[in-house]
Parts: sequence; C-alpha cells; structure tokens
Amino acid sequence: MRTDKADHKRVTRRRFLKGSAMLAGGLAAGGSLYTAMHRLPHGDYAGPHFFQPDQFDQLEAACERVLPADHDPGARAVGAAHYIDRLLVEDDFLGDVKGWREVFLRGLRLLENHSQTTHKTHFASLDAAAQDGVLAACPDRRFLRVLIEATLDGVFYDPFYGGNRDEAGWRLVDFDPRASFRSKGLTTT
Amino acid sequence: MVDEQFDVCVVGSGAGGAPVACVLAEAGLKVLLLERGPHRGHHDFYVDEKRNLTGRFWRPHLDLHRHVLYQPGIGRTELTNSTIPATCVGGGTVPMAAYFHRMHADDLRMRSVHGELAGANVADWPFDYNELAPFYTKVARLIGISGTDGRNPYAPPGDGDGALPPLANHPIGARIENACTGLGLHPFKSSMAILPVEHDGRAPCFYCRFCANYGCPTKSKSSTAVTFVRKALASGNCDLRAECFVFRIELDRHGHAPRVHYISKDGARHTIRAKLVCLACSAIETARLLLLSATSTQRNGLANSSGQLGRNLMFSAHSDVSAFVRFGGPMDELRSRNPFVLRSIQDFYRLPHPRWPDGQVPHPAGGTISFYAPADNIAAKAKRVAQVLGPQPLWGRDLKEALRMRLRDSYVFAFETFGEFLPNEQTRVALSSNYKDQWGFPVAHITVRPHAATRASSHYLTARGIEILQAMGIDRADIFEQSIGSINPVLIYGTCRAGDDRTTAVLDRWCRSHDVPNLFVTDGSFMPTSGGVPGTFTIMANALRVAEHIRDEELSHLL
Repeated sequence: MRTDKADHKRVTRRRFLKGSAMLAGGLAAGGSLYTAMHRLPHGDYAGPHFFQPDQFDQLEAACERVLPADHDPGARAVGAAHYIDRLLVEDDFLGDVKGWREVFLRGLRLLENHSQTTHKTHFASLDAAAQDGVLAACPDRRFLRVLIEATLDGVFYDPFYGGNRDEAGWRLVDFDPRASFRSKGLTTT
Repeated sequence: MVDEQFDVCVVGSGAGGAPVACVLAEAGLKVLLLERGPHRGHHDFYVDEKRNLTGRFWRPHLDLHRHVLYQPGIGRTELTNSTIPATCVGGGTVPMAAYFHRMHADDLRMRSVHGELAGANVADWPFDYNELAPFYTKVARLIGISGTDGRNPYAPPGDGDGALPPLANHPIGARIENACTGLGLHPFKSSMAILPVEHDGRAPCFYCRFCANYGCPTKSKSSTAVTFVRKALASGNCDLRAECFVFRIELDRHGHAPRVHYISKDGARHTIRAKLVCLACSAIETARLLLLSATSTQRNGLANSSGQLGRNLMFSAHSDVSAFVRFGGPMDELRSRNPFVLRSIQDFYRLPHPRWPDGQVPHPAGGTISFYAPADNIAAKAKRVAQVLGPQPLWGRDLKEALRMRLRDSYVFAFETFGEFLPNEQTRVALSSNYKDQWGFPVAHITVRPHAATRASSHYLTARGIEILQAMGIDRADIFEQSIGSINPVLIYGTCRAGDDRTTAVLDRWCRSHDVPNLFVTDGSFMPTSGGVPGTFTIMANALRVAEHIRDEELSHLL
C-alpha cells in the first residue's frame, strides 16, 4: 500500500510516464548492442517528483554525506538524489513493493527532527561535520543501509535512471562498460 | 466450442521443456509449447546493470507474481521473485552463467553408497549414470558447449564427449593452477554452454564480460531459445505461445490428463486438448501447478498419491566469495578482458578431504568450487565494498576511499561453490494461504530448511576456497564473503522426485507420473538428489532421454 502521509506529494505513475513518453519511444526503437540511445539527458529530468522540495534538499545533503565530494565529485554532483526520487516515483520493486518509500520518508523526518532538536536548524543547513553527527546518530539503521545502497545505485547505474550524471560516477572509478564492445569494433551508440 | 487439439503440450521452454518440444516436433508430432514469459530477441539483450540484475526484465513484477520464501533457519519470510529463474522463452537458460558440469556416477546412488542420514531423505535415482551419459554427449553436440581439458581426476566417464574446444584461456589460469596443485588439488577447465567457435550457424563468443544474468546479444550462449526452441520451430510442427500462463491440468474419468487450461496475455482463458502433457515450469512452479490442479477426488494435488508432491525441494547449496586485488601486484594477469577464468576443482566433491580431516562434516556430500571474474556490474560491486548487507556498512570518506581502492585500483576475482543440498521433507513447496498471483491463484509458499550437513559442507568448501585465494597471494583482508551456506535460488530441483516405488515417488523412471499415464515432468523436479554441480546440463540431458523414450517407445499406446 502506498503511503498516505500528508507531506507526500502524490505523483501517479501515469502522470510521470506521460512526462517521459519521449523516453519510452527511444526504448522501443531498439537496435545496438550497448544502447546509449535510451540515455536520459539530465536536463530532461525535472524533479523532484516524489519528494517535497525541502525533503529533496535533505535527501541531497544525506546522499552527499554517504559519498562526499573531495578531489572527485560527490553524490550531489553525480545526481544520486535524482536517481532516488525517480526510483520512488516509478512503479519499481524497491520503491513500491519493498517499502523504500516509507523508509525514506520516515528516515528523512528522523534526520530533520534530530537536527531541529540538537542544532535548532534544518538538516540541510548544517555543516558537513554536524550532518555526519546526525546521520551517525540516526536510530533507524535500516534507513541508513537503504540510503547507502540507493546512493550507490544512483552513482553507478546507467545515467538513464536519473543519476550518474554525464557518467561522472563511472569516471570516479575509471569504469567504461562499453570497452569490450568497442574493442571488437561493435557499435556502442 | 471444440477445444484445440494437439498431440503434445509442453509447459515451459527452459532446460527441461525445450528438448522435449524439439524432439517430438521433429518426430512429426503436433506440439504446443506454452511459455509464461515473453519471447525476447537478441536486440533486447543489452548492457544495463539495473535492467538485468534487478527489476522485472527477467521476472514478473512482484505485484503480479512472486513466491513466499520462508527460511526458518534465518528467521525470515519474504515475498520474492528471486526463486523464479527467468520468465521468457528459454527460461533460466537465457541469463544463465552456463557452467555445464556432468553429475558424477555416485550422485545417482547416494543412498546406496553413503547410506541413510537422519533428518534427510536421501534416495537413489531410478536409473544410473550410464543411462544418462549418452544424453550429456548428445546435448553437447546439439547446443554446443565449450570443452574441458581432461585434467579432472574425478570426472565421470565420458566427461567432455561431444564438446567443442575450451574457451580462450585466461592468463590468471596458471596462477590458480599453481596455487591448487601446491595444495595437492586438481584444477581443471570448466565446460560452459558458450560457443568458443562458430557452431550450427551461431557466432562464437566475443568475451564481452556481461554474461551471467544477461542475455547474449550474439546468440553465443547456448540457451534453449537459440537451440532446442529454434529447432522445434524450424520443424514446422511446434506452435510456440509466449506469455501464456497455465493454471490447471484437468483429469478425465479414465485418469488421463487431456486438457490444459491457460491464460493468455490479454487475460483470456483458453483450453486445449493434448494426448500427452509434459510439465517443465521449474521445480517450484511445476509443483505449484500440480497442487493448483487438485480436484474433489485428488484433494492433495494432481499426481500426488504418494504425498511427496512439493516435498524434497532442493537448490544448489551456494557460497559466493570475492577478492579485491590491487593493481600492480603479481596478479596483474587479471587485467585481461577475458571474463572466463574457467577453473574449477572437485577435490571436495566428497568430504572430508584427507588433507583437511574436519570432523564437523556429518555427511560426505560436498561439491564443486568454480573460480570466476565477476561481470562488470559496478553498482553491485560498490555495494559489496560498502557491505550494505553487513551490520556496519561503510559511508562517508571511508566509503569513497574504499570505492577508489577496490573498484578503481583493484581487480575483482571470485569463486562460488555449488554444493549438494540434501533433500528433506521439510524443505518443500506448498500453496500459500495468504498470497495470490495477478490472476487470483495462490502462489507457492516455499519453506527452506537446509540440513545441518548441507550447511557444514558449504562452510567447508568456502573455507577451502579462501585458502586457495590466499595461496594465490591474496591478502585475507581483501577477501569479502558475500554469502556462505546459502542457496542458489535459480538452481532448483526436487518436488516431484522420480523412483520405482509409487508410494514414495511422484514420477517413474521415465519421469512419467505414477498416477497419470500421459503426464510427464522433465524439469529439475524429477531429481531425487541435487548433486554437487549446477544441474542445468543434467536437466537437459534427462529431458532428451525422456523425449527420445517417448518418441521411440510410448507413441503407439499414447497417441
């Protein structure tokens, strides 16, 4: 059962898919061995669709703490939160059936409440060290695990799914999934 | 309305069903092949980790169909589709990893050789290895499998017969061999259902690194879709209907199974008549279908006078261990783009090994250790590095450093173990009383209670595998145990065991129901014991054995 939380902006799957009709057309075209054709340019993803804007800010901040920027980009620059937002709005196993929607909404609420209680300000406004402290103190260990898992998915899955912006996640670890296809002279676009 | 009439109806187009459809269609019979999943072409098979490893590409959406998986040992009940090998034409053979090992001769007579074991239901097979062996060879010739190097001292007679040459050698192979032989072990090249050279009009493998869990874009993986199903269709006698779910086999008053009821993609219900019905929906779904076909006179399910239907469910006992090996060290052979490490050992097929006389192994049934270079599933590897399944997952700067070190600056090298899962009556399939599928039929409720000996043997094999990795020069701290003593949920056997005694077995030696003379079951359901290798090759060989028997011996009095 989907959540009926008041703070949950409902976006039906149909409405979302209507917005991505172009995308579906691309998928049906089919053809190459490694299809880059279904790659969704980041600019086409106007979100958030699942989260409220303030929740999305919290999520982006939390993802960035899971994979912080240093001399390489972090989760925010790679767009992991966009991946998660899209995952939860789609009719996906993880979001719909395994209850990740509730996990994220409850977990973000915990972070925000804890931040308000101890720091009198929004989680998203805290500095990195304070955010780390709030995240480490989060009593919902499942949320932390799911957050880490989903952030990594958003960094490393195909850009098609809304994260891994411009393949920045793959570049982080020098990963090129098309190498073996190219080396055999096979089409990769 | 008159029902459509066929000579034969085969339900399921994977390893168990496709060989039967092919042999009988080529013999001139009018065959209907029903498959619950879609018919995918090789253009559907492209590299996208999320699409292939999660979600609904290979399996139905959890809202539409799933299993209830109850594992009392780890105190968990979950709704899952991980126990559905793949729903598509070709079934689990399309995304399979494709290890093709033969069973050993003693695997078919575990009861006679090793006796009874309390808490297990070990039984001999109703036929011996010599009867099965020619069909391994025939399958190899028909579909094309890569060869072994003949160096496995434990190999059953005829191992490698009918096979093509081995796949291209991986440079790490020599290091594995040195480490193993240094420990007194006997590594050999594994056979795989992947073409090393062109075969039967299909192109050889181009070593793309996306094999297990992916469909092959060049048809080089010998799935049933590009072999038996293709041949069945080419005969002109096989009508393949994809996206058709069979929900009931109906019995007439003579005790025959003349009617098959199914639902097509549009939700319409259909009934066909067949003189011979062959089920091969995977051991779990075949048992479910027979349970769903219960009647007022057969309340416990069709073909279940023995009471054994659904019981003795087995998997391949499975462990999976990865090592992350830093660049620049002695293992730079792993730089090779060849995805097939191709080395296995069967020194631990029977336990304990004299060199490791561990008294904690209550039964001799062991298994196979296979080394592999994992596919470039980068998100899966990242999650393994982060240990998201562990009690203390990594995050923050620690995670980022670990990702760079393990994924950017390291190779991944792994082994998995395929162990015997000792059958027992408590590991079984029943109908769920709570959950229904999209059409309103109860789903399978699966209870998995591995025997203590199965878990012990899995731990034993894993410990030996880790010692081999260490003998190769890998640091223990670089070795990650993804799962130990677990089950491989897509290598499924049992539930309709074959045997001569109709009071203890569901099927006879020809995999025909003891109760219903025109009903056969040719997936892994028939297996009385699981063996210590992935069972796909054995399921195909047995299906061919049964199909040729039907073609040569049964037609006159069945049709």
